[in-house]
Amino acid sequence: MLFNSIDFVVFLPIVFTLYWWIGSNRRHGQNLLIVAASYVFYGWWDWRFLSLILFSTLVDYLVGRGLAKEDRPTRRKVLLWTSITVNLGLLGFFKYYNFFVANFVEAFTFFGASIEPYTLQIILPVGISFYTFQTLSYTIDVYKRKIQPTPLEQASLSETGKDLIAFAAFVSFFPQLVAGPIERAKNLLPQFQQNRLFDYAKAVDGMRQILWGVFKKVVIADSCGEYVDLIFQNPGDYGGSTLLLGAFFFAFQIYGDFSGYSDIAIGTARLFGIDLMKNFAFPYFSRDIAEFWRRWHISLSTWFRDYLYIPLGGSRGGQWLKIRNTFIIFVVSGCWHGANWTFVVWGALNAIYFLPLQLTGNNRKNMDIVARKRSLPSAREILSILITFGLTLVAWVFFRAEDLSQAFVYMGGMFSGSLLSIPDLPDMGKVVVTGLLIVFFTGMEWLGREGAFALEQVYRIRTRWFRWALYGWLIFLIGMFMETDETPFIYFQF
Amino acid sequence: MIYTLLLIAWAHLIPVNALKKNMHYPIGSFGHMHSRIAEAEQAQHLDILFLGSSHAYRGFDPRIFRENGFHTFNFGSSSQTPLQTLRLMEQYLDQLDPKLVIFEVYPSIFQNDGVESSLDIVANAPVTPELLQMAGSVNHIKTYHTLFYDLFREFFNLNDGFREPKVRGGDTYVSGGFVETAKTYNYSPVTEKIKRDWGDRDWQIREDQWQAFREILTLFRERKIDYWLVQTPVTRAAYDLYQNNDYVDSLFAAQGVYYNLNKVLTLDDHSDFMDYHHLNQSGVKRTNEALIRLIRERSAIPE
Repeated sequence: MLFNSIDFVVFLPIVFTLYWWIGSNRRHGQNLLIVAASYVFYGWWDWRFLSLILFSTLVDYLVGRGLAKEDRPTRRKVLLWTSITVNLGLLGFFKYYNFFVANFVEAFTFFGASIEPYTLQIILPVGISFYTFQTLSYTIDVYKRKIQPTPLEQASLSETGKDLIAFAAFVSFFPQLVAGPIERAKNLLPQFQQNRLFDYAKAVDGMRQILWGVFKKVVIADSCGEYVDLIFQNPGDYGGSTLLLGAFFFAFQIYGDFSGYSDIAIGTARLFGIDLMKNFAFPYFSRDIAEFWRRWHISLSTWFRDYLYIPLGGSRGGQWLKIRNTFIIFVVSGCWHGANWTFVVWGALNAIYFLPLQLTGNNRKNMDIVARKRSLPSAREILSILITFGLTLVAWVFFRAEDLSQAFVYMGGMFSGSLLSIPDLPDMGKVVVTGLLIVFFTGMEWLGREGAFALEQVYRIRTRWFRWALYGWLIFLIGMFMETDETPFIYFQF
Repeated sequence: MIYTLLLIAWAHLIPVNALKKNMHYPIGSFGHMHSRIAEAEQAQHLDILFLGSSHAYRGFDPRIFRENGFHTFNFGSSSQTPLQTLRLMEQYLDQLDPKLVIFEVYPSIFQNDGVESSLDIVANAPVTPELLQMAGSVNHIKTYHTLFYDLFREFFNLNDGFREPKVRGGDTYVSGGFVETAKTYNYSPVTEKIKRDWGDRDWQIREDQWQAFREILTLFRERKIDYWLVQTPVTRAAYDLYQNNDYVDSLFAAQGVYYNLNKVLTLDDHSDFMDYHHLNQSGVKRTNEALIRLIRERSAIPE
């Protein structure tokens, strides 16, 4: 089920009403409803893959229980690796099997050998990369004794059953099931183990965040997507300036699409009294790449930091170790997005951007949001923001391209003599309007950059009349500029 | 409330179409639907009623049929799909009372969502229950916005003074629903870009359009009105871009009398067309004469 579908518009109020009708003091009933609703939400797309979620849930639940009872290090390791093998095995099979087979065959062909590949028609289960990482975080944290396993020891059978439901709710919670934020067990699981009270202010804030998320997705991302698809389909047909415009539109498409999804997810969760972690923090206002990565897809970046980078040694050790670890984390992060060399290059490129900052000790220079308590940034800040945005723009070309050869054609065309020409696209009037929408969007983000999301800040500083006029205006813009076809979120494919 | 006010103000005051992505009010636009609807209100006891998209209103000239003794009306409109035709027939069929319906079935209309045509009809026809049903069946925000704005205009009689010009951009409206064009087709070979955009593909028939189409045919059968399904010719180059023409032919042939005039006539891609898929007056004359011969051969219209 898509957030931007009529199905969801019907689904959400029903689940919301039932949830609060069950009541705050019956959290097990609410958890059961969450699990049922989440399975309906997921099964709407393809019910066959519900078995994967169920399997993952049971494996990690049982591993967690096993870890609770086990003190012998070797056995604990076996349990941990059971969970890692099962989860990454499923992910590897569904996401990377054909990629590895194809590259294996290519390598053999390169050396003159000829082999018949055995490839499979594999459908990638939507959201598998997200919920797999989420359940893994639980097992690893229990293994490291950072959190208590669920259920606690000595629990009765009834308590165990209730806790299994709470755990299943943690794994499958529908707002963030298919595209994150990738939650940590220590943040989300306890929320399913305690009573939730209906908080009007929180629910209203959630609605506000949903509105902003929908605007980002159906107005900004989808409007940009129209041109991105056109330009990236045949980059050889366009001049440098048009290709640059295509990359620019993709930067806003991917941001609007993914951060819009995250806003809708976080806002929806708040309607159910659940707080999810922040996933984006105005990344295009970053003054360097290190800051960008602290503000972009935060739940994945911090996941890799906590469960890969730090265990590898992090920034401790010598320079070479730092370089190795940085490359590993960025390349693995690229691979996480998909089985394509374009993602590997995208990750490596970001590592190359990041390393100079890290090696000179400047990677934590810009920790706070730009121009805090000021209306406008300084000239130096503007320049830093533009350079950082330009670097991400180049990297996005690799992220969006179908394959490396297309990416290189795109880059070659973009940095050609025609870069300074006037862009040439059909219906330039619509292109200009898309540009105006981006200007409005960026302005709103700038005004709200000190909050959790843009509209939050606007709410705090304006009157009720202004607020309602703004909501009306946003809803109107959504109605006037939305794509009416239900366009899936880009990150569903990951 | 705020949304409603903004919608009306936006539609009324913003002159730039690009700023109105989901709102389009094409009153008196290409296709002359405003004039056609006005004439349809008066037309009755027809020998032949023509239905379909621009292939119909640019393809069947009532003057040629009148010269041959047939009283006809052309109810084609821009991109008209079965979703629109169904509602138009529910509203007008009994009044028009045709002996024969010639329904132009260019496969494109069956893979179209019907939005463009719905806007054309909403902006140019009075609001009726059938129109509301049609908007509901298209179920598109652009259609709803346009319908809402049309209701506002009708409520305040803002369209009362509107007169559609007979001549518009090289097109001349001819009484009886036909649009004659002075344009000629500057033929060029099918380029790779056109092939990519247009062709090497199959016609895809939408379920909702096919369902509406079947309902239209049921309306005719219930009233014992004969109907022919006809494809007017397109350029050979355009015709050959699609791979499953034979399959589409078999679908239509199973629904009743069917003529694919691409197979009956040999027209000239240069001199008989105004563009890739619309006839010009030379092509119209040749096509209409061939059709009249068929009507006579089959005695399709009782004396």
